[in-house]
Amino acid sequence: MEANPFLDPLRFERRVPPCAIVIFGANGDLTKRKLIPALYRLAYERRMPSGYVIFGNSRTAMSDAEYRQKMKAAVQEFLEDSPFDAALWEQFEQSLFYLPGDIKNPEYYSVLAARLKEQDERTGGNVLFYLSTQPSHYEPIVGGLGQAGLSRGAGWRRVVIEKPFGHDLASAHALNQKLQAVFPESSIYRIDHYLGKETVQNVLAVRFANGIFEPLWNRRYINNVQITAAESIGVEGRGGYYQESGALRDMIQNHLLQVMATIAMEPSAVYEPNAVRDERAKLLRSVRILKEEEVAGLAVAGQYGSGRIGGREMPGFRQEEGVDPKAQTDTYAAVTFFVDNWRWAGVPFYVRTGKRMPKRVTDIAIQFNAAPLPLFERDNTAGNHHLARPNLLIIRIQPEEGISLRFLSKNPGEGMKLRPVSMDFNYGSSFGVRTPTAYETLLQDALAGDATLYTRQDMVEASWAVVQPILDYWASQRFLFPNYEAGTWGPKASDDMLATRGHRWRIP
Amino acid sequence: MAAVVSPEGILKELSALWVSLGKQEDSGVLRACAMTLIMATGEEEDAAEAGLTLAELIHEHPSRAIVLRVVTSAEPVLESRVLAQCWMPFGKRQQICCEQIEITASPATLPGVQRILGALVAPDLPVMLVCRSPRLFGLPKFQKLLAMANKVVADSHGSPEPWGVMQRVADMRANGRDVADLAWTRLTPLRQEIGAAFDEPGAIARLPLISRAVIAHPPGPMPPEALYLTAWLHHSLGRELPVSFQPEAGSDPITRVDLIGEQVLFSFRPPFSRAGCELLREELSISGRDSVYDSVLAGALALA
Repeated sequence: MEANPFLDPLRFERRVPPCAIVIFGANGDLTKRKLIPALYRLAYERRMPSGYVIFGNSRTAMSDAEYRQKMKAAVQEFLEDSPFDAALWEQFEQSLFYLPGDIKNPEYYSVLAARLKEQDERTGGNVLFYLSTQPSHYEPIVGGLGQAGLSRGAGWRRVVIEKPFGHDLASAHALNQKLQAVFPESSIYRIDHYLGKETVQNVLAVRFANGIFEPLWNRRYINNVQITAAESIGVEGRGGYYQESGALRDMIQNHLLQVMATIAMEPSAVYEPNAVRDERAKLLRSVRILKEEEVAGLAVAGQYGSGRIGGREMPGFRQEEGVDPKAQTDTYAAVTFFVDNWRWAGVPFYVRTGKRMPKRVTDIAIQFNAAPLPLFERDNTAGNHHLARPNLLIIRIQPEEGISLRFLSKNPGEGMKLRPVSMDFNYGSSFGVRTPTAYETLLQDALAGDATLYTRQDMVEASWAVVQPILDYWASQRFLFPNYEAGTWGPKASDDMLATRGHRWRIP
Repeated sequence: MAAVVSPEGILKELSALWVSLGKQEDSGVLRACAMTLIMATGEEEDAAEAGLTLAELIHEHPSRAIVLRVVTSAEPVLESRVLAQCWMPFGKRQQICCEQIEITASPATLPGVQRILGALVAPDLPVMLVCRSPRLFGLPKFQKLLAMANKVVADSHGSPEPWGVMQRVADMRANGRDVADLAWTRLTPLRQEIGAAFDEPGAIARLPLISRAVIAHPPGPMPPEALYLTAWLHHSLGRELPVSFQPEAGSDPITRVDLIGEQVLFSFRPPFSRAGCELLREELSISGRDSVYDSVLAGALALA
């Protein structure tokens, strides 16, 4: 086909073609909190196509009007940093329909196919299926779509699936095979909302659009990297789900390994979906797979007990609703990863995540090697005081997005006394506009067919391969949980893990 | 008689302004600055409107904004004042503020203004200069000011000699300067509409059948946008297309474009009009080479 000669990518907004969006799990939390508010916001910014229609599915019987009312309330409650425009909602809800039915019943897909067909003129036959259900429903839905011939049509067909992509390497592989039996890999969009965060995307801009960082971005200058994703909340009513997954599966296997890949990957030759994803996948394949005997020294599991936060007594994990009082679930996980390639050989990547920690924060700290001589120390033979204050480049992902560089500076006044100072870049002070939420970015990308920020089969399986030995080892252990108090930065064993290399966790 | 305006004095006033803003707000204010944005206005323009445009722009492009108003006066005029433009982003508790400096000068004091601005630009950040007045854009005493900017935004629309403005833009671009013409920017929605129509495979297949075009514009002299659009059609199609121009009532500089051939008619109208701040927003978001515009500008000048 001849290319469109009238395009001007420098100036034209990216267009999303007309399409239908089918949300499975349309009555669920994710749809209410994230998906519908994101679609509404895209409509608010006129980023939705001229012809679009949204079908919501779940088992609950509801009319279109009831569903619209429910979603309106959700948008009003969960829309982030944006006013609710009642007139726009009236327009938006005209494209919102509810199609209840049992996803295990093949007849449901015939009904769906007929409804989609009715909309072909409006949507050009393009359909995005969004699986916002529990993972056990992925297979029946994808199978049902395949049997009803919905994976192919007049336009494009894409399927977005939410994590978890399996619960271990074998199940992830099996799920991938099931998905690929119906949809080609290029039509499967595995969503990892961390990759949709502006600040995570900005890591690539900082690294590859500036000349000053990349020469230092290697084992010669970087001493270690710390990635922290701390949550102050507990399991918030999701105890039943959480005790089956745990922190390693819930956060590190997907989000944090993707963040680590973004920090450590090589530059791609071009900024195109598969080129970028090839580099992320290559990095993930370079992460050293731990041997069973290494796991105890390089990975720490934790579970919070009760504790006081801000004067309030917080229950321990085992006291949370729906949680087994003897649960062995990790609500905290810390792992030392190594990347076995020329750039990173020997540099530890410390990755930690936990619930009921002192505050909600996600950041990446790149710790540089210290100056070779402690020139300004009064006693430069012992203590090496300044070594405790190495240069740090901190990329803050949430809540206060920005970048800081810590370095030593002379204290004003007599003598050569040094103290660390911080040079800060704050997103808010350079970009006054609202930052789109990760779901806005990712939904728009999926509708436009841009998979750069979505994970691919090989990336998912590579990251499972990395955590699998840790999961296996932990499953064979009986931990003395709880091992950290609610409101603290995790178990002592985690500090000890870093101390073996002379490092310590920074306090974010 | 011109008052004494010193850059140090203005910078001191700015410092005092920030101190006082910090005291007024419990949670402090966030000082935002990503560029110096100079808005030069002639007497024929409404300075208040320039201020409003700036107020809109700084949300997306926080800047040290300088409104330079050049008045025609026999007496030398040079005055300044500083203020802050603040806004509270939706859902946030801290105000974001940008500083704004207003300078009024006359042609006689312009050389001095260049030195003042040289001291006032925010260090190490890009300097953008918007000059929509064709008179100022062509004023010899103004050229040193233009040279200070990393990007200059002019507007050939409304000039009695639009081709002259376009030629100056072309000359400056040929010398490696980044200069934009809002007459070209104004066409983006219409061009995008045309581009979208040819996303359809069926429409692409009929492209070779198009043998001529009609461009309609409001009665009066032909606007520079018409030439730009003609040159863009030639550039995109890779061939010269006979184009006829028709007067048609409307508020946009181009009211309609028809691409016509045997059993083929594609007709386009601008989907919406854009305010001045929206045009500037587009230009401020683009830095560096714009190869499409370079080709189109050369083509438009050849047609003129």
